[in-house]
Amino acid sequence: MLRLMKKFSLWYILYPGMLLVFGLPMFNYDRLSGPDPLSLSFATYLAPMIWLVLAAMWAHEQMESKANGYAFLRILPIEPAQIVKAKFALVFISVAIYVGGCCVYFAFVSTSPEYLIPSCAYVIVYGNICLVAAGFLYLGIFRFGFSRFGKYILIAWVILLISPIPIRIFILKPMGITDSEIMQLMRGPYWILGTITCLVGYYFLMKLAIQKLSNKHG
Amino acid sequence: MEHILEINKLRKMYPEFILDDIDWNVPKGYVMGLIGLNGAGKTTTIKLIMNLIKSDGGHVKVFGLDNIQNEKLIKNKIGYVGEEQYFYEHQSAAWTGEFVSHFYDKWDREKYLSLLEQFEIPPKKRIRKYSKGMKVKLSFAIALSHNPELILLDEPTSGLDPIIRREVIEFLKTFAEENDKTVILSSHITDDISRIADYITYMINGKIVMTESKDALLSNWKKVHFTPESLDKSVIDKLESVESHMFGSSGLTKNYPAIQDALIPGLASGDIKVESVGLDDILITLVKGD
Repeated sequence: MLRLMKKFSLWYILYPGMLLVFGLPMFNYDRLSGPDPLSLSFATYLAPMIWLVLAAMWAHEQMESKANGYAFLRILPIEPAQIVKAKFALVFISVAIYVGGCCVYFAFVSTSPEYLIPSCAYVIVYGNICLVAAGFLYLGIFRFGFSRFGKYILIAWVILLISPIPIRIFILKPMGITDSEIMQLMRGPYWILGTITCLVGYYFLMKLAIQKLSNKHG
Repeated sequence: MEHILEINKLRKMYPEFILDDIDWNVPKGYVMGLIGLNGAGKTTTIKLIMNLIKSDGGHVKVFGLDNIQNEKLIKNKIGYVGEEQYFYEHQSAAWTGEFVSHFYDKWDREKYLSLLEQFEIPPKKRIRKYSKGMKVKLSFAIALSHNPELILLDEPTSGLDPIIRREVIEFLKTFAEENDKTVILSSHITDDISRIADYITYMINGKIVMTESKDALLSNWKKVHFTPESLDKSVIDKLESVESHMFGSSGLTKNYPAIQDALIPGLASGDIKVESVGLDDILITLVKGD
């Protein structure tokens, strides 16, 4: 499986690189402008960039589809489960590295746990959503094939990328939910429960994807 | 006789085609040719053996093991070359060899490199720059470099020019003979199969209609040319695909030894002539009779 992960990892290495290029200027901007070196808005800048993992996933799957990678891999002594596990593991590792990296960085720049915990929680919540979205998208790819389903990865990517703005303007603001209330939510146990639920969900999506790929082939 | 492959009531249903509960055994250590027209079910059968598609019933045992439950173990001992060659084409043959070597227990790097050299495949060149013939040869190099016990070839020579086709078949013949390998070669090009096969299986419309040793097949199936008065009607009735033409009539027998004695007077007088048939004549007769 490690060999497969190495083979699949090219795009996952390239995209986080882009992420740093885009992310770093925002780090400094926010650090200089905020009342605390770390504020929640800092996390709200960084968190959506996790969607780049889905872009890496799309780029990788497009390359596999173009090269008929699955057809090639399936004639080798590799079980469908190994292929699926390698792909799910790569997404998980990418998300974990990004989330972990952000949290470590927050810990360095923050002077108060008041901001640190909700900021980390905010990025973790985004990581959770990213994992579940990736799981569903892989399920679609293994069920329908990339040529039919690949466009939905891009659509999901765009929706997830822009969704925080309309959610804030059209849902949270009319409901009178403020940033500090979101921060309050991030202090509670909800995000921990959400994380556990998402991880379990991701595991079951992987199991379903293995089933789909196995049924599709042998 | 030990069988390397045992297929029992194997079924696959497509909207326009059904592989119809086939039973098929392949003896170990021989070359089995699988002949059929396009769409007869050859590729479907081989894909089912490789577990590349899902069956709708039946069982496949390779090396005495269920091919789904022991997929990894079985594929470790199979060399497969399909009609289409799939590679990561932005990579080179050297990279491909290195990549696949990690999945096979008995990958022989030296053998792979020597096969690349023998086939005149540049190891460092990107695969997308290879010709169709080179890609087929690369597939062979990969399929043969892990010391497979069974070599499965699904129309590997279709689309190749005659020179490369001959080269590939001759190589395969030598390889199978020298290494005592079991080979299953599917093709609608009967010339390829007649060159190397020990056994022949005919497949028509999703059914296996005959499996015979090539020698028995070619000694049993003969074409008889005769004048109407030279042959008894009871013998003529045993012939298939009887045709009349300006020089007399002709027909095919699938059991020549059974009518051989009846032909002796006609053969002596020159009114009857017997000639060997090709595998494609047999295929055409079987298709017509289906």
